[in-house]
Parts: sequence; structure tokens; C-alpha cells
Amino acid sequence: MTVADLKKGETGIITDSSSGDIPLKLLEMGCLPGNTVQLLQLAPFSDPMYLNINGSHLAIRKKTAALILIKLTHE
Amino acid sequence: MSKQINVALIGNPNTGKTSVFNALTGLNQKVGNYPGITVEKKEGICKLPRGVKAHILDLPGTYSLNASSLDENVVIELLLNKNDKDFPDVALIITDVENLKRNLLLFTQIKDLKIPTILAINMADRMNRKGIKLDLEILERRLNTKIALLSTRKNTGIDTLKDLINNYKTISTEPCLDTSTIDTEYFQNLKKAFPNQDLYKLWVVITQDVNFGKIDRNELAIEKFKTKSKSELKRLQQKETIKRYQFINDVLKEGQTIDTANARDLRSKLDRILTHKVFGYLIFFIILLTIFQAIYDWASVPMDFIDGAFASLSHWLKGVLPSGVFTDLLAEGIIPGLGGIVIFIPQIAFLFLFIAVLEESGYMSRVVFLMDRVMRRFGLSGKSVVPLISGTACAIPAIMATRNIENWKERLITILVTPFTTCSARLPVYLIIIALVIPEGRFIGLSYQALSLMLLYLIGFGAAIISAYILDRTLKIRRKTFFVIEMPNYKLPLLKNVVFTVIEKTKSFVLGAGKIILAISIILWFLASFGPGDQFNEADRIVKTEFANQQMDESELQQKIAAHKLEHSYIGLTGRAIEPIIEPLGYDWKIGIAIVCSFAAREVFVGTLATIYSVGNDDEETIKSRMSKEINPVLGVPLFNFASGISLLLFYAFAMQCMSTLAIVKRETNSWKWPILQLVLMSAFAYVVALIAYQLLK
Amino acid sequence: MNSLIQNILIFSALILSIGFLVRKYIWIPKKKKANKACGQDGCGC
Repeated sequence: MTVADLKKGETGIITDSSSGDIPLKLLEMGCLPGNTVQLLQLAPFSDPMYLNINGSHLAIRKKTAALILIKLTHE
Repeated sequence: MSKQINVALIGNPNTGKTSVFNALTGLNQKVGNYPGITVEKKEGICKLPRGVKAHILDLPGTYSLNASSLDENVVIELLLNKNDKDFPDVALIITDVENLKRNLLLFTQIKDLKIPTILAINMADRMNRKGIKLDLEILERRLNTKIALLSTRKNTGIDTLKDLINNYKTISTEPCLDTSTIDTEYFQNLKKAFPNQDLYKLWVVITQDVNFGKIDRNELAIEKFKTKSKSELKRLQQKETIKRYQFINDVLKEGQTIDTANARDLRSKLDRILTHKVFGYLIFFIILLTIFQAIYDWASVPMDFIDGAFASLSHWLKGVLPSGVFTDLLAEGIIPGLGGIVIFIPQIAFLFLFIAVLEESGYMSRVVFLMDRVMRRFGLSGKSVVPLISGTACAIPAIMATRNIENWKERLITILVTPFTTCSARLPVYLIIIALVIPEGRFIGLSYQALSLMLLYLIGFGAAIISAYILDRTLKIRRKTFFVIEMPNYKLPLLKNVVFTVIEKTKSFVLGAGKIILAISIILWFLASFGPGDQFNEADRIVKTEFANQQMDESELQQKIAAHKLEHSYIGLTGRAIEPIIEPLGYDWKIGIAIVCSFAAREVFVGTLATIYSVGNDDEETIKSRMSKEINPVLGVPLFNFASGISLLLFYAFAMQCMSTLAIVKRETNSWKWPILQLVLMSAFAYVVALIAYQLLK
Repeated sequence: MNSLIQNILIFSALILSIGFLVRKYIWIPKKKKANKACGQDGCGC
């Protein structure tokens, strides 16, 4: 499952963020395996996605989100 | 002679770095450019205790030493080059108390460069609200640094900071991370090849080198050591990032406690409304309308004042200085030229005031979030919103604002289409033509004239969006999605920051456009004041003979002479020369002259017409009534009729006439290809549209 | 005399203006481009 599959309010734990197409900047902002990611808001067409990654509040495009593998956690 | 300490101010965006800079330097700051590139260089002087001065360089905000834009590259360049005169004696890292974990990544990297580093934790006033407690002693020990806890909002901690800067020599330069743990074998080889160099520094140079292609590095000859591929290096960088976060997490576990039960969260409450699928857009739209209405209303007062002031100045100069050509140049060329620049300052300043408030408050990021998907369909980015809106004041600072668009293609397209938005300079032209040719009457309570103006604004935006779409399809530039935008906490904008931003942006307009407009005004004055042959030089005699039989007072006669001279000046001849080209658009050579003069600044159109129709002063009513009486010699109907008026409006909407904008485009894209393309394509488009409009409507 | 000064002044103004515009638009590359750094020419990053 990837970040792109998250529904609003859902949380997940990142399992893999090693794809070459994920900008290093995103990793540096906390998108690393073991960190939590929560979907806060969605723009129309689910793009971009406003996420809380490891405490950092940021928005990324769906295409990038689809590269981040996660495991869904149930609150 | 007091010693000067070089301080580099570094930090993530949205940490209040600018506020700290302002608090330290006050008004002793200046903004320039780094040589050769279009990145802003911001520096200032701070007075420390005991007569010591600190030279503070406010570096562009960055998340890490891994640069992904030109801005961030500047940071690395400086920190790796000990010979640079701005190389810091001490680095000041600004972090914000709510994002400490992420902010510390950059801190550990800078520390590893073995530069004395001070940690400033800003926004301390929010700690209670968020339930955050920090043990500074532990943090100082584990991070091997000195910490200043400050709040620029409440003005606390600045003095502590100044003391720390003063005593920078006592700060340890122990690194946080042992670089070789990233990949022991690789780094051992590196150490053998370059025994005298610092490992981490080498690492930064290698990774940045590969990311950017060929860069001259005067310190090291890295060429022979590219033993890893780009993707392998990236994987090592990921490892480095993971290791750093492990270190940071350890430190924060000891030194920071967060009690989420106590935390209050304004951000999510506001986000729920402001990024709402329907209300979000509605609210944004309303805000936009309010801004435009306010600017319109507020700016007119100072604008009228400036108009009058410059006219009086011109008049006064003519009276006070000895008569002669230079006085004429001053009063008729230079002063009006300057006036044409100054008169737009109110509008531009107000627009940037609003934009600065929206950005400082954090709302702008939400706008980018809402608009990104829509913008992308047209080859733009969500971050193109600010330049496009700014373009309604002036394209010059708008184009400069595209610097934060990471994707080159999106940035280029934004730069190319922004001039289509209706800038302030087009308004005087629009207003007078609309007043002349649009009939009275109302439609749903709004006058036709007001509706026409709104329509022109929409046409401007429409043209921008559509040409962006076309450019997106036709330009063959690789386009990688690389969009990351931080959604900062909402906060009340700090007045000081807003004011400084407005001053900076307005200055860029005045200086950027001002010099060019002035130079062109002088040249145009020349072309209008001199002409070849008898027709020009004997104008006095010719006109007097022509009107010998008529009763005319002195001023009227002088105006007739002036008009005759203009007709036979170099510019007049140019107007006549292009007349055949513009005739199908419904214009005559007089309008031709005015269009040519618009290349200095679009609004010059009105003033030029005033001169041509020998109207003594720039009284709008007089110009208007004079223009309405003008007859098209070929057709025998009023020159400014509905057809030619619409044609003129559309021409000004689409033509690229602003030389200042072309200069900025050239600077920001670093080539002549793009501004020339803009000039040719936009002008051709404007011509064709105006042509069709006139032929259809006449 | 006044006329002479005025003429000198206006022609100086003209030359300065033209010179300024030439330098701005027909920029003689006195300094080689410092960096071919990322963010400008579509290096695809």
C-alpha cells in the first residue's frame, strides 16, 4: 500500500522510501522508514495530498505519494 | 579598529529566520545579488556588546545541505569555500520549537563542516501552547553547542544570542556524525586518496557535484574519484539521512518532552475550512476580489497626488531654469519619465502588502495546495499563483517571485506567460479608451464600462493560462515532478517583516523598471524634439504663415507649432512610416507614434496623445474630448470609434511592449532566446487579434 | 553660453541613455558565467 492510497484521517507507518524518484528533500523532511504519516487534507482529484510526516506538515503530489510504501495502522 | 565577525544565518524556511535577521540588524541591511546568478544576497550589520560588529549574511532558507535549487546551492558554495570573504566565523542555525526534529538535520550537517555553530530555537512563546518542554543543558551537551531560546514575536532572547555570537570562539567544532559510518569501505578509500581533507566536506562536494553536473571546485580535484554511480550515491545519502535522524531522535528523547494532551491545535481547525473542497476556493476567490477592490480604492488618492505633483514640478522647472533644450529635456522628458514610474508605486506597494500578509500568515501555502492541480493542467505549478497575481501590479517583481518554483519547465512557462496579466501600466490606456468608445448603460447593475474593464482583466488571465497550456505541449523540456511545500503554522504576520518585504519588492520595481524607462524616455524625447529638414526646423515660420489670417492667441499658436514639430520629428516620421502597417487595425500615424513611445512604458500612450493633439496640459477631460473629435482622414469617421477602440484595447492587452520586463526575463532565464520569443510571438499575436477585431467590427 | 551648456548636457544625457541600454541589452560577457548550476537550463533534476 502506498501513501497515495490513504484516506483522509488515516495513518500509516512508512516501510520503504528508497525509490529513486522520491526527492531526497522529502526524506530529509522526515519521510523515512519507521516514521508515521497521516493524511490531513485532500485537494480535489486527491492531488496534492496534505500530510503530516513525522511531525512535518507538508503537501506533495499524488505521483510522489504513490512511491512511498506504507503499512496502514488502525487508530 | 573593531573586529568584524562574519555570521551566516541559516535555517529551514518558516522558522522566522527573517524575523531574527531583522531583529539583529534593524535597518542596517541591504539586498543585492550574488555575482553572476539571480539569487538575492541579503546582508546586514549587527552591533554587539563591547564595540564589536557582526556582519550577518542571511542565506536562503534550506532544509539540508543537499541543494535542490539555485538558492540552496548558494549556501553550500559559501560554506565550502574558506577563501570567500563572507565565509562565516560562526554559523547561526535558526530552528523553530515545533519542528525541532527536522530543523536539527541541517544543524548536524553544518556542525559536521567544523564551523562553530550556534543553535537558536525560535518561537519559544509557543512552547506552552504546544506542551513542549526543553532541557537546554542536555541539548547543549549532546549537540556540543550553545543554545539561545528566543521569541522574535515577544522580543526575548535576542541579547543572549548577541552574547553567544560575541563569544563564538568558545564553541566546540566537534562533529555530530562520524561520516565514515555511512559506508566504511568507501570512506576509507576516500581518506587514503585525500589524507589532508575533511571527510564530510569531501562527501558534500562529491554528492553535490554529481547532482549538478560540472561545477568548478577550486578546492578539490574530485574528477578522479567518481567511483560510485548517481543512484548509489543517492542511496548513501539516504543512509546518511537515516543516521542523522537516529542521532537527533536520541538527543531529543533526552532533551525534549511533548505533552500532546496539553497541545492546542489551531492549524487543523483552520485548515479544515481553508482547504475545504468548496469553501476553500470560495474563500480564496473572495479574498482576491477584496484585495483588488481595496487596491483600486486606496491607490487612487496617492496616485492623483503624485500626478499633480509631477506636473507642477515640471511646470515650475520650466519657469525657474534658464530656457533652453536641457530645461526642455528635464521638464518634458525626464520629469514625466520619472513621474510615470513613481505613480505606480502606491498600487504596487499595496498589492505586495497584501501578498506579504498572506504569506507571513501561512495562508499562501494553502492557496498553492488548492491551486496546484488546476495549474498543472496548464503546465504551471501551484506556486505560480503568486507570480500571476503579482503580475497585476507589475510583471517585474512577479517574475522574480518565480524563483521558488523547483521545476524548471513550470518556472519557465510561468515567467513567459506572466506578462499577459493586466499590469498597472495598461490601466491608463484601458481607462481612456473605454471612456471614449464604450457606451453608457448598465447590465445587472454594473456599467458597461466597468464590465469592459473586468473583461479585459479576465482576457489577460485567460491568455496567460491558454498560452501556458500551449507552451506546455510544445516545449520539449524534461519535466520531473518535484513538488514539496511545507504547510507552516498559521501566525499573525509580523509588521516589521511585512514592511521590509514591501520595501524590497517596490525597490526592485523602481530600480529595475525605473532606469530603463528613464533611459528610453530620454531617447524618445530626443526623437520627438529633433527632426530632419525644413519642415521641422522651419516649423515656427511655416505654422505662423499657415495661420496668418486666423485670430489665435499665443498659447494656441504655440501648441500648433508643437504639434507640427512633432509630426515632422524623427518620431513623427517613424509614425508615418509604420502607418501602412497599422492602418488595417484602424489606427493612424498619430496613434502609431503613441504606440512606439509605449515601448518605454505602456502608460506613456496617454501622455503622448496629449502632446500630439496639442492639448496643453494632461487634463483627462480635455484629452478625451479632443480625441473624440479626431477624424480618420481616410474614412471620414471618428478615429476613436468602437471598432478601433476595441482593436486598440486588445492590442495593448496582448502586445509585449515593456522593455523592462524583457530585461528581467532575460536575466531570470539567462538567455536571449526567451525574451525575444516573447517579444515576437506576443506582438504578432496582438497584431493579428487587433486586426481581426477591427475588420470584423468596423 | 547658456545654449552651449544646455546642448552639451542634452547630448551627454543621450549618450548615457544609449550606453546604458546597450550595456543592458547587448550585454558584453565580461565575466564568464560563474556556475552552470541546477535550476536554470532544464538539467532535468
